Amino acid sequence: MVHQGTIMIDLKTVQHIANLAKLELSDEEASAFSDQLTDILGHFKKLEEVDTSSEECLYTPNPIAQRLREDEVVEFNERQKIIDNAPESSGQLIKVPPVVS
Amino acid sequence: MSISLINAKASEIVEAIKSKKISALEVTEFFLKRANELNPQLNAFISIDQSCIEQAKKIDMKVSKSEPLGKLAGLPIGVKDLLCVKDQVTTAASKMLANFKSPYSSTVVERLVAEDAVILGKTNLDEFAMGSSNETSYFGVVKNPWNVEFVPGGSSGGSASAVAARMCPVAIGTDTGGSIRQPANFCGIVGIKPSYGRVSRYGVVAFASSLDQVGPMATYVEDCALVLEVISGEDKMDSTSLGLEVAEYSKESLGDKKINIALPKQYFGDALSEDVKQNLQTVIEKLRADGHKFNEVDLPLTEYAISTYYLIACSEASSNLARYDGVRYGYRSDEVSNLESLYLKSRSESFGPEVKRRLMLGTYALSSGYYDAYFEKACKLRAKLKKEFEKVFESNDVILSPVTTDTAFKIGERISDPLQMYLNDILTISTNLAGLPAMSVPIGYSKLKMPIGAQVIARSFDEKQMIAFAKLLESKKSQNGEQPDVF
Repeated sequence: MVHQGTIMIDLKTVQHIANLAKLELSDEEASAFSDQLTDILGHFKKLEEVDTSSEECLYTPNPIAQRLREDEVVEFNERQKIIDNAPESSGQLIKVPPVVS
Repeated sequence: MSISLINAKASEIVEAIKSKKISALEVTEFFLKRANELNPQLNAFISIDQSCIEQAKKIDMKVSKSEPLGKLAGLPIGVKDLLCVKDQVTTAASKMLANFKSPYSSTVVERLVAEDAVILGKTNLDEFAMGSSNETSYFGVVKNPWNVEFVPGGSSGGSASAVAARMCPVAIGTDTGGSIRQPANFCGIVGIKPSYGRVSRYGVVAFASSLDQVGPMATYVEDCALVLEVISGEDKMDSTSLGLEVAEYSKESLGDKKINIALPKQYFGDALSEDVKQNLQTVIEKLRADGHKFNEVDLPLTEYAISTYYLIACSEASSNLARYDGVRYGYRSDEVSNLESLYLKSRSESFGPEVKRRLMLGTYALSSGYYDAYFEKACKLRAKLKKEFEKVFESNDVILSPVTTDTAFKIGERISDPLQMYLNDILTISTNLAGLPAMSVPIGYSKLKMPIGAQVIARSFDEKQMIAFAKLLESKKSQNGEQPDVF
C-alpha cells in the first residue's frame, strides 16, 4: 500500500495513536507531535523510491536460525525482591486499582 | 605507585595487580576518587557504588592467597545504566525505572564479575537509550570532558565521558544505531559494537531487540578487545546469542598482512566537515604508504538507512516498552482511579518527550492500515541493505569511514529538531540493520581540539580482522598526547 501526496498527521490521528500507545498527551504535546510526526513520516516516504518487490522481510540479522533449548525449571528464590519492586503490595500480592469500575 | 593509572592499559593494570606491584584496592580507590571528584562536573554516572572498594578487597584477598585470578582482576568498570546489576538500581535514565532494583544481573555483568572486574557504578545515558546526545536523560545532560559546553554523544554518553575523563579505564555501552561508536568518536575513545548475536542481551533493558548489542568502550583498542573476549559467546538466556568461536581478540594483529579496505562513496559526501575529511585523508595516506589497498565502493541504499532504521527501531520499541504498565515494577501515578488510567497516567507521567515520540512513531508504523507501507517496507529494505554490504565484502576485508560528519556539537544546539537529530546517525545505523561488527577508533583532532575518530566495519562475526586493523589504525593517530579539558 503506497500513500500518495503529503502525509498529514492531524490531531485526531495523534489522539488515536496515543490511545493505542497508552499515552495521555497534553494539548501542547499533541500539537507538537502532529507537526513532528508529519515532518518525520514525510521524510520516511522516501522509501517508496526503492523497489523491494523481490525482497523478503528481514526481521533479524541473525545468520543462524533461532535455536531452542529444553524448557528446564530453574529455581529463583528472590520472590521478596520482586514484590519489593511493586509500587503497591499487600503481603505476597501486588495491588492494583479496581479492574472493573 | 609504580604504574601511571591515568593512562595505563587495562592489561597493564591487571598485570600490576597480579604481580603485587599495586593492590586492587589502590587501583579502585584511585578511580573511585576521580569519579567522585569529576562527576558533579560531567554527570557521567547516575550512581557510583561507594562500596566497590569491598569488591577490590576481595580481589586482594585472592592475590594474597595466590588463588587464580580472572582476566580483568581488579579492573574498575563503569556499566551503562541499561544493564541490570543485582540488587542495584537500574534506571535506564528514566523516571519510569528511577527506583527499580534489579533482582538479578545481566549476563554481561556476571561475566565481568566472574573475571574479577570491579563494577564502579552505573553510567548515564539517553532515556531508554533513545538519543544521540545524552540530553534526554531523566538524570540530566552529560558533558563532554574535552569541552563541557559540548555533548558527549549518545546514547552511551556517560560511558564515553567517564572513560575519556579516566573516571574508569573501561566502560560498557550498548549500540542500537551508533550508541557506542558515536559517543566514543565525540569523546576520543575506542568503542566496539559487536556483530548481532556475539554478546548476550539478557538483563539489558530492551530498546529495539533486533538491533541492540552490548559492547566495550575504552581508551585503547586492546582494552576493548580484552573486554570483548570476556563478554562474548553463547548464553542460554538469550536465544539470539550464538555459539561461534570467540578468539583472543586482544592478541590480534595484522602483522605483515596487506588488506583490501573499502571506502564507501556515500560515506564521504559533501556533508563531511573539513576537519573530519582531512583527518581521514591523513590516515588513509599513511595506510596506503604501508601497502594496504583502498577501493572506492558503492552503498547506494545509505540514503534510505535512516528511514528504515527509525521505522524498525521505533516499532520494536513500541512493543518492548508496552511492558511498563505501572503494575509490577516501575513508576505508578498517584492519580489512578481504574486500570486504564493506571496505564495511561503512569506511562504519561514518567516517559520523557523523546521516548513518547518514538512510541508514537512505532505505534503508528505498526497500526492497522500502515503496517505494510511502513514496517514491512522497512524490513524489505533492510534485507536489500544487508546484501549491499555482503557484496562489498566479497572483495574487501574491512570498510573504513567517518563515524559522524562532524565533531561533537554544542549542548542544546539540536535537541529541538528531532528529525535533524535522527539524521546525525546516517553513518552508523546501517551496520545495526545488517548486524555487522563495527567500531570507532580515535585518529586525531579538529582545529578546536575536539576528538575525531574513524569507523571500521567488518564482515559478520569477523571481529578478529576488525580489531587487528583497528590496532593498526590506532597507531596512525595524529597529535598523540592531547588531553581533555578536565585533566
